[in-house]
Amino acid sequence: MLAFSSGMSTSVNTKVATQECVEIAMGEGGGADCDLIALHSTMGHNPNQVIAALRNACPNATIIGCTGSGVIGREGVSESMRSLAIMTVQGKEFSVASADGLNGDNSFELGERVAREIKENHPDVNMLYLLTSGLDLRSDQVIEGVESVFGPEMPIFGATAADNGKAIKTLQFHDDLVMEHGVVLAGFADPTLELVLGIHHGSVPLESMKFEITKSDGNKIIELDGEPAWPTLMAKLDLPADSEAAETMGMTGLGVDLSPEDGEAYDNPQVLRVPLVVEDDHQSFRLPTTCPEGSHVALMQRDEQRIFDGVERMNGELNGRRPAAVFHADCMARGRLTFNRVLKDEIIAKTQYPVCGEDDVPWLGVYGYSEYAPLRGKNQFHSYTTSIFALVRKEGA
Amino acid sequence: MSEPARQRTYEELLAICTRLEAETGHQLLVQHNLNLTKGRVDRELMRFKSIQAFIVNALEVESSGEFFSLTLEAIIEAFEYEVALVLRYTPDGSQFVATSEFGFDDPPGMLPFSTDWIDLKQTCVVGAADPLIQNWSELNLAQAIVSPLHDKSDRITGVILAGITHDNADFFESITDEHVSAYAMMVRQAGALWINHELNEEIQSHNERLVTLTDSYSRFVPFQFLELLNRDSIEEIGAGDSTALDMSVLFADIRGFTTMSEQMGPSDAFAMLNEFLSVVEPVIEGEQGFVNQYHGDGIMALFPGEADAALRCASAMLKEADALNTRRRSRNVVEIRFGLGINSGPLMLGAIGGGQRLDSSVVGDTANLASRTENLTKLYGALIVFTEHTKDRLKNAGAFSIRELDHLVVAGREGATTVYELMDADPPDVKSQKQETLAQFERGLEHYRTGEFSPALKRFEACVALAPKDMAAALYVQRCRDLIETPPQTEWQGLTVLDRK
Repeated sequence: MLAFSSGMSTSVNTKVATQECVEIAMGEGGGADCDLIALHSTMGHNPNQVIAALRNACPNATIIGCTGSGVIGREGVSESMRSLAIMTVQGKEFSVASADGLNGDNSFELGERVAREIKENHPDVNMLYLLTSGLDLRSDQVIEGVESVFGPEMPIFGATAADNGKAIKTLQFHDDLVMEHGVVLAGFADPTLELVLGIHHGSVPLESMKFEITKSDGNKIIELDGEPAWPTLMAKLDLPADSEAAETMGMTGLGVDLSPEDGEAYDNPQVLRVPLVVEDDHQSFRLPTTCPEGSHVALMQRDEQRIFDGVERMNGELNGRRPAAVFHADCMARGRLTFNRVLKDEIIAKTQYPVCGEDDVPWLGVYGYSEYAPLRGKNQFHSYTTSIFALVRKEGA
Repeated sequence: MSEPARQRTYEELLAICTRLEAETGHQLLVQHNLNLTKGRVDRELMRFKSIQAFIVNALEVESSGEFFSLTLEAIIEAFEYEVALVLRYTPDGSQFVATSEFGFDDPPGMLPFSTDWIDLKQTCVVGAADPLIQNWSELNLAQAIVSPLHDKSDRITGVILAGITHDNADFFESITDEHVSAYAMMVRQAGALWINHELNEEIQSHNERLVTLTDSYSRFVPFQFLELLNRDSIEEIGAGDSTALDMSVLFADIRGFTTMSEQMGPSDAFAMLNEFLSVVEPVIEGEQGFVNQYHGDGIMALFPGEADAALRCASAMLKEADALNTRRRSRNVVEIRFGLGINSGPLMLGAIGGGQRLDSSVVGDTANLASRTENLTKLYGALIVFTEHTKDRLKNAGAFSIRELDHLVVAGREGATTVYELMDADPPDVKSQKQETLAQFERGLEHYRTGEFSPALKRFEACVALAPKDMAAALYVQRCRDLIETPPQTEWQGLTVLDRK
């Protein structure tokens, strides 16, 4: 049976921060009993130093993780340049695999590869925690690759890594490997655990801002409404065509229509994607999913009330059960890019309190670029969401 | 009545749609910029929160290394820079030495410096093309901000540099001139905190010295002496400062000290004296008294409170001396015997001296008579003798074993004084014998005073028969015999006149 604990630190000293995290999670000297560490770090910490310090504190642990624009623990939220949060796991019912070199063309292949490795190591896996690079990928293909091994019913949850809103590079970790284009997949095989999900984005489409993708190549959108894609999108926002993705990602959430059933389950008729890579000529851009020609996207606008409503609705899914652990993926656009500290803290507190009450529920969250979360039993890729993945003990376990 | 609404043309509707569309896009942009502004305000607030926390934490730090490490961490936290250094001038001012660092994989040791590269008097932001960064290429800095550190004389002793390396310039926010005032303020604050810390340490060191010095002074001039003169410290005392008080004065004098010190040599005599004083001083302090003067083989102690305290003290001193003598006997060294004389009354307490050197002193007949009273212990073979002035001031005379010894005129004085013996410190057998013969002794004294020397003799002889160690009774036996043999020539007043001190 897997046992979880978590810790978070905002100390700028990497060694101190790592020690603090491990001590909060496992107590002083408790790191020796740790079998798996999931970590999220912001870009200011040197990842090699973080891993070395974790390795020192938890010599027997497998290490996985990724960078984010911020981290979320049961202690709160931090989006400072040096923030660190970990989830420690005790128990052997897991398997981890990773691959480097992910891009829009090989997303299926790498997804399949890591899934196969996991299945070979641990055929009894019943849920998958996926962390990938955040910028150039076809997330739907990664999901399909994984599903090709485990089938579409296997729940996949996780996040894509982020940097601090610069959209330059994101990092993924597996043991001593620090990857820039990585896929890290962890399979949990604890039969006593089940996954309870809560996902919501809280944005609404702008009716006058809809586009048809008239020319695309994989995840690259070349034309919108028959015009060069990036200048067209920028013109709608009254922005110059040479704007960079990093400058615009707070307002370029593009909604893709869901089926009416999925929309109802989601409490939102659209799922969002955000352009994070603009080609050098500033004519086309990439979304982190496949963009078929003929499909439609709409610029979305956040609606604070819907965001807060969504947080409350998510917590209803747990129905009062206390999770053994919570993994949390929040879109970095819902961090300081959108909310001031007070609002952000309020959202997180409103998310955490109904789930945890006064209990110390282990909690690891990241402000990534996008989220992996099943919708109506079907694995899905989202942006701009708050996604809560609660690992709950099955009744009688 | 209003005009019916006019149906808009297609072109008009298109124009409205275009305008609304543009406004919506603009609204998104405005919202986005507003969020960015809120983010900046948040960061400013966090920056000042970090600075506040730093100030609180810095007050707890002891060492320079720890302080400046904390300072650099606080700067990194507040401004979200990548690396930071504390650099100090080398003594010749031609180089800097890095004394604390944050974030460097390979921290520098020494760095060359020229005043042509940067104006150190102010906080500056420097870029990759600036001479300072060029000359410090080993730091791999893309940008830096530099602010001077001052010492307590306001001289520049170094700088605190923070920056971003080329490796991570894409991720860390650029250092802008907007940072200058807050950064300068934080470095100034850190410098001031450290100067305060150093000054505090100096003050603490001075204070510790002062405490030691005061403690040393207090061994020469007791605190009680200052208190009685209503002064807080010794430096407030001047020659002639004095006060009139009513006190009890206790004299203790080691018997045979001169002979003993001749036998044992000055060094051992000194050791003996200090051993004696180390035993009796706490007893005196315990009764709220204080030693006002040491003189050769004895001490003069003053008791500002009740006279009872002086008597209790005298008795306790002798008991402590008994314990001391037991220890001395086990070391085969000579025992210390001493007598105690006590008198009470008005006296002047003050500082005397010629300006260059001062001493605490007691002036007045009360002290003189106390000294004479101590001499009487030898005459009467008593351990403790005190005067009627002390007896009159006792609050609880019944608590003591007392007997009258004599009515006498001491040498150098005109008036007569009655003196008493405190028997509480006598060996138990002697004390009990004296108490058994107390009535005989008192009647003997009555006869003696009225000139009835034969009945007095009988009483005193009876005392001596029962208490052979009662030296006072033996003295009176001898006096009575002498007076029977040679009756007084003048009218008998029952008074003993002593012509020697």
